[in-house]
Amino acid sequence: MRWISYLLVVLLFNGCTKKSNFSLVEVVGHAGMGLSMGNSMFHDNSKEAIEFALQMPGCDGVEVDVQLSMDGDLWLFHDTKLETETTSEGCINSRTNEELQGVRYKSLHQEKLIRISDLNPALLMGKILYLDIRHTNTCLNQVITAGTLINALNAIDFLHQEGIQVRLVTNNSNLISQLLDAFYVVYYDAITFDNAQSILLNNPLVLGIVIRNAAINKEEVQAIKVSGKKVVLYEMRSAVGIRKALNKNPDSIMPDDLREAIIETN
Amino acid sequence: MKLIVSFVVFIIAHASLSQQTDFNSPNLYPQKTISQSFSIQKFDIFSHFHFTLRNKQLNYSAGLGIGLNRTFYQNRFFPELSFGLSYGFRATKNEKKLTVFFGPEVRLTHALLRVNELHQFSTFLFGYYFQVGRKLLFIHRAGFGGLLENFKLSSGRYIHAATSAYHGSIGIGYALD
Repeated sequence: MRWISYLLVVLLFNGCTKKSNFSLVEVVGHAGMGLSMGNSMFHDNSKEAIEFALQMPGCDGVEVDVQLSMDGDLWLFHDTKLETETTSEGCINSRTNEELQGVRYKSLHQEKLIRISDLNPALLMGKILYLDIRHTNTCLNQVITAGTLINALNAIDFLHQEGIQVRLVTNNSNLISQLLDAFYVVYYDAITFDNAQSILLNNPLVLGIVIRNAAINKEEVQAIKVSGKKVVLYEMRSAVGIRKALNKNPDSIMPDDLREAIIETN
Repeated sequence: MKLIVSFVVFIIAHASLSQQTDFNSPNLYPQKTISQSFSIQKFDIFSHFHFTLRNKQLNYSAGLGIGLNRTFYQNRFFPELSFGLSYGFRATKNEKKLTVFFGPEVRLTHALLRVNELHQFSTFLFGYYFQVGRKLLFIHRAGFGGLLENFKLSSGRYIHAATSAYHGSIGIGYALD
């Protein structure tokens, strides 16, 4: 009986913990509804996952991974090789649009591989769209040129529509200046705090950094914010991870469980 | 997978080597049971309280549970109602007077969670139900099936999405008769 009473007190105590207010932190769905998450309704980077996330009240936007096809169109795919997740093989960069058209994920719903232009612009109105640029063709060991990338981005009308906030994410410092010259908002995908600081120092027009939650602490987040830059944290797969990230007071989080993150920020 | 096959082989071997009971005999097998179980599901770990009623080879169960992570860690009440129907194709009594009930189960659940808007999760699961004991029971059930999530937007429009679902639970029960 003593143990049951103790357990009840512990549960009540935990249940009544007052939460901090994180309503100003933007919640952005990582690859739609989360990357490789068992409880995601759809495959990451699929049209279904992105549109389901965008319609969820409390979701401020989505992050997607983009790669250029041989024809110069931007396709949504996370991994380097198609065979890891889809019915096809090789790299996106070594495939034509026609070859990629019928490719499907090896998932329950067998979602189709899509281009950015396949997304519904109406659902993106008032939302943030992070485009994580995958710049290397692993199959040919080549790096895409900034010109090809900018042409592909310029060709998508809704990316320039008022009301849709497009933010490019890259870890290739060579692409930064040309993307900024083309009037895109650029975030740097940093590995460490020191790496982030040196890039931000050399590229004052970069708006902020995207960094793994585990790679940065609260003081470092504040140091970057004090310098006038934004901090976006990603890779948090549980409610504990989301709360740890929120306690660092970033500008945005990219959780892998969108429902958990919306609950935490409300 | 190996573990599941081993478990099924163990149950079948156990059942076939034991004396089969008469499902009509109330003395050999509990008819009314209350139980407490913990289950792993797609969106949370749930704790359920069940009431089970047996009528010959059919077990009817109704339960009420809560999602532990959402309710206690995230301060968001996550209740779930569940209904199960299992068919005991084998109930046995071995040398140690332990009664074993094993059979397929159909399970329906409905859960509610407020994530800004109220999200409703309905599942239809097909699996098995296993129970051993006479007065104090060990209960295990597992299943796989479909899940429908829906929520209403402020515009009045409903958003639906369907996917796969699973559950696996263990618990203890007490026979009331």
